[in-house]
Amino acid sequence: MKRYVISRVGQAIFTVWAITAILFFLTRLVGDPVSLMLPQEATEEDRQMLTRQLGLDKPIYMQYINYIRDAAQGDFGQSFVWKAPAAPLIIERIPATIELAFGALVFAVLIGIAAGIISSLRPGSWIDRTTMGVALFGQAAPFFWVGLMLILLFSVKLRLLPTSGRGGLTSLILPSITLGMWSTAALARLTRSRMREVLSKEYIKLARLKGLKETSVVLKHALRNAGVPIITLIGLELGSMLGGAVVTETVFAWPGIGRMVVESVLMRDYAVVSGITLFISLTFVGLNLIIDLTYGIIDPRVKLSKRSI
Amino acid sequence: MIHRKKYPVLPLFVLFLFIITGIFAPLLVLHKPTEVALGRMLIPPFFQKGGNIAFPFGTDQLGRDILSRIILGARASLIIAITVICLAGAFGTATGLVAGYLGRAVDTLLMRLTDAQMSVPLILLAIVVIGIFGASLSTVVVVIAITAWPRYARLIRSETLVLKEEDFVALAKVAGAGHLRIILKHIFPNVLPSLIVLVTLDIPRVILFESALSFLGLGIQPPIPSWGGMIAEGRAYLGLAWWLTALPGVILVVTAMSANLIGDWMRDRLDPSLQY
Repeated sequence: MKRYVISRVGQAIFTVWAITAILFFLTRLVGDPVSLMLPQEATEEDRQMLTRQLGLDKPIYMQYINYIRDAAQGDFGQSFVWKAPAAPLIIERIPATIELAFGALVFAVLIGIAAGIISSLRPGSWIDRTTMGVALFGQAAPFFWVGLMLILLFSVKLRLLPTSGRGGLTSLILPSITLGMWSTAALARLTRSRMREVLSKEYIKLARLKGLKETSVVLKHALRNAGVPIITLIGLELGSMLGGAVVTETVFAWPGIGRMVVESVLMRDYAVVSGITLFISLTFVGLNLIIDLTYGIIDPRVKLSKRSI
Repeated sequence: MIHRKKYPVLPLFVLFLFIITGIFAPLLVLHKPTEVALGRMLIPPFFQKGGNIAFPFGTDQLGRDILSRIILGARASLIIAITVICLAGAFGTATGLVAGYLGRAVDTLLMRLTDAQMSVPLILLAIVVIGIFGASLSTVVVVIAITAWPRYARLIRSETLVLKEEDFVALAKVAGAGHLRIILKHIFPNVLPSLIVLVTLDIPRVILFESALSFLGLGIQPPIPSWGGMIAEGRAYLGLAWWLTALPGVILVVTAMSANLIGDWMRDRLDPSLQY
């Protein structure tokens, strides 16, 4: 068990290091950041001064060490688009993304699991087929397009909800549904299949024979036993929502780091891009680590290469 | 599953349509899709008032025929999907076979590599790389392939691990067969069914991924039509001209769903216990 923990943590650290190294070298590949930052009329002197200031005159391994050291202290460099340090800009926008991810997660967990449970209780019925059909649709449709269709219906035609931007609870609804769509479908399908497995078990028959209320049988006995893979999936989906947030925030003009990374990439603001990428990757790695460790605790037989998405 | 017939006829037909459209796209278009004609901007689809059967799905803000652009978009998606899957599939299968067969160090290396790669949200990876190297067709294909190959590698590897313990492998070794021969003639044919299922299920994933990138402006670049790009372009006119955004998306959904259904059906047929 201890070996598993150490190995898993070591893997996570290695991954983080690899990400920083790749990010660093990728951003250095692009060409001269100095030329990007200077106006046309800059003299050779200005150029050299800026180069020294940015530490770009040092050998590459020194630059890398400085990069790591700065990043560890929360300094991601200067955003030349915003003319300000990148880190505070990023931190400012993180809460918006967290709010969105949380909203999507709540939607996915509530609707997805409920739908899965209901489907599993009436297999083959129209409820089951409709739900699974919708889940199939949800996993096949481009979620950003569905988001736009939702905007078209609820904001433009029906005028019920705001079209974009972050505001009160109402503006969270459509983005959450959009971001959570895929996860909801996946959770619904998994919950249904897990519940089907568990509901046919002997102890469920026993619980029913004992005369327990059906709600209790389903929720307390069946769901709890079906639960572990479902919880694992929830954790994994939260991670992939970090990726999905990038597109969703663009659709809804949501002021989070997802939209910021897209804009920064298009404007070649590499300080911001690497800062956000690092943050998201770290969160993703950390999340997966927690999931794997928890899974390892719950099921001691689990091997290292269990995840497969 | 959903269908009781032997073959999922409708999804197969849709997929067939998608492939044919993709291949013969330039011959099938009604109007040149890049032809700008400002005199006929924003014509609605033929079933709506003001529509015109000459432009069945309407026109966009530059007067371009939507249906023709959708047809060409199918071609772009098809080319990218096929190329990506060939690249990722070939590379992933090769590495999976080798890692699974040789085991130990090579296997651990592969696992570390794929774990590390799967530890980053794929879209983010794609965005950063494309942002740095520019969004040309080849860059997009390579980037999407990079995000796709781990699945193949892991699946083939786990199948190989099981297969190499089989009797027929031992017999082949006894008969003096070299490693390469064993892998190619004995193991590979047996991983083929799972590989086919994965490919079929991966096609919609790749198409959707590419459409997301195109939507962000980091995929297929204008003026080449792409479904994702069309959806993005139609955003500004969402209230005025819903068909700009809606119709490409509908086609996308139908194509992806069909491919998914076929993949599910193949998985049920070939190996119901398959985990991917």
